[in-house]
Amino acid sequence: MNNPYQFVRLCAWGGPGLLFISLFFWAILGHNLPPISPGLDAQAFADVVRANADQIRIGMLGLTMGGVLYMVWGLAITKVMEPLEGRSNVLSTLQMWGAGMTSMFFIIAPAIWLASTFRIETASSETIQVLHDVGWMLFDITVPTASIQFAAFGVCILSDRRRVPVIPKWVAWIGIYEAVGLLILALMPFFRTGAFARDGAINFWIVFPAFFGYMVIVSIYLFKAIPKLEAEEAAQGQAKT
Amino acid sequence: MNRALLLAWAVLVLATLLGFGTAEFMGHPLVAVGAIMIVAGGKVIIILRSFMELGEGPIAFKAYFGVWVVACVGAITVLYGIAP
Amino acid sequence: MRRVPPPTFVAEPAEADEPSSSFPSIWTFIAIDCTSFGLFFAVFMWERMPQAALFDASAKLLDVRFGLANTLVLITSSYLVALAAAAARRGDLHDVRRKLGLGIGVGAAFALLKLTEYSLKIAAGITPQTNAFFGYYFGLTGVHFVHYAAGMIVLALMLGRARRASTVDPGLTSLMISGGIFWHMVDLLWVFLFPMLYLLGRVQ
Repeated sequence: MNNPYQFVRLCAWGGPGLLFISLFFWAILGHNLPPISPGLDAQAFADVVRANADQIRIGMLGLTMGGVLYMVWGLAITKVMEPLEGRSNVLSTLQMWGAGMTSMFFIIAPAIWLASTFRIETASSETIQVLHDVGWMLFDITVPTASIQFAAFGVCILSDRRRVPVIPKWVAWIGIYEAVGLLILALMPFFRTGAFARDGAINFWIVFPAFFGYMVIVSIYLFKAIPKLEAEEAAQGQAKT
Repeated sequence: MNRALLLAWAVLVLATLLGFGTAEFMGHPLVAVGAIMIVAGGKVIIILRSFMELGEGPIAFKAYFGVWVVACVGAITVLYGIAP
Repeated sequence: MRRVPPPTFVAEPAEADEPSSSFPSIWTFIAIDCTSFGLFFAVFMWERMPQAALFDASAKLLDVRFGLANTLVLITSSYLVALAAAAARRGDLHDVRRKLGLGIGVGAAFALLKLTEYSLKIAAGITPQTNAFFGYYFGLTGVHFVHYAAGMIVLALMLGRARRASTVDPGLTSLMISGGIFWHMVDLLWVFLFPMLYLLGRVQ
């Protein structure tokens, strides 16, 4: 008997996988806890990169290659959304594309940061700093792709009319909050210091843990939803025989 | 029910006008700030209870917002007070 | 992507649309959003500490009358929307439309005042880049304004739904209540923002 959810669990592990890679490779090795201050002048900024070039290189390599797991995770979400959304697949399609596009920025931004370490012995300080700025613009300002993803998922959960919802409504509301809340990163291009800068108390220390915290919550509820959907599937199969 | 809403609105408007008018005359600045923020907190509670009907809600949410109002009022006042 | 047809298994019918006495699920969102703003208040006050004199001097450059007017506008608009929700509970569709329309009309004044205030500041050479205080002023009132704009859209959707309806059904009542709760939150956040940004710096 073909279980359509066979690979969905595997894909759902993409979320925890990306979380680990983000924390270990990007944040710790990559020297992003916190990110190097954009308020520093080029020389000071580049000196930090130079001093940690080898570990940053490995860290950014890790996320560049691992970023695709976000898309894989998004496919698991799609498969859990499909039984909820009924006849129109607009929401799950928006979510899938949103996850896929967000995944691209989890790949491209670290690739640029990786490039900044490639000729570290001879690169100018301005070049190193500008490459980091470009990477951050691609990382922070592209969040609407994730917003679309989370909003579509949230609306889908809210539309679930089952007596016992497959995913609780509060998860939907957290997602809708995340979808909107991420947009505060739009303030980032205006500030090199302070809470709204990319390393700031709000735009880093609140926004990033909230984003990753939401991924943890969604991953947990994905794993809880799959057995429920498998049971529905089995019941349907029984009803047919 | 509409009377309760009207009363809430009147209190909110009065508190806003009075608080604004007396802000500058409370003697010690920290006392003034404390008073301003406590009045603001009171207004927030009126909005939560009268307009948003939080009073009818589960104890968890009531408790959470109670703590939230106190924390906001407290944090703003305290951080004002300890600034050099 | 090839679409698997949905199973013919029919979901058990849920209870009828949430009766208006059940606690709306939007409160989860409200709680998280208020938490975020609470953190923003703390961050602002913390960043103020090493430069309190600068912050206070900058705050004095704000025109309190705008802040005051905006507070009164939002309080009144909130009141009208609350009346509209009460009308929905009574089944008085005509009153729902009227109070909601008034609430939107009054609420629109906030945008007028805020945008005028921003324009005057920018014309006077004061921008988010001017100093740390103004960075927070524009940032925090900007984030609040986005909430306000979303709230106005929600109110407009509510009014649209009320206009198309022929009677007050449970779905409309539920929307009036939840949408109203979001709008009241916009009001409530401003009630804290106004004194924190405009008044703290003017206290002698």
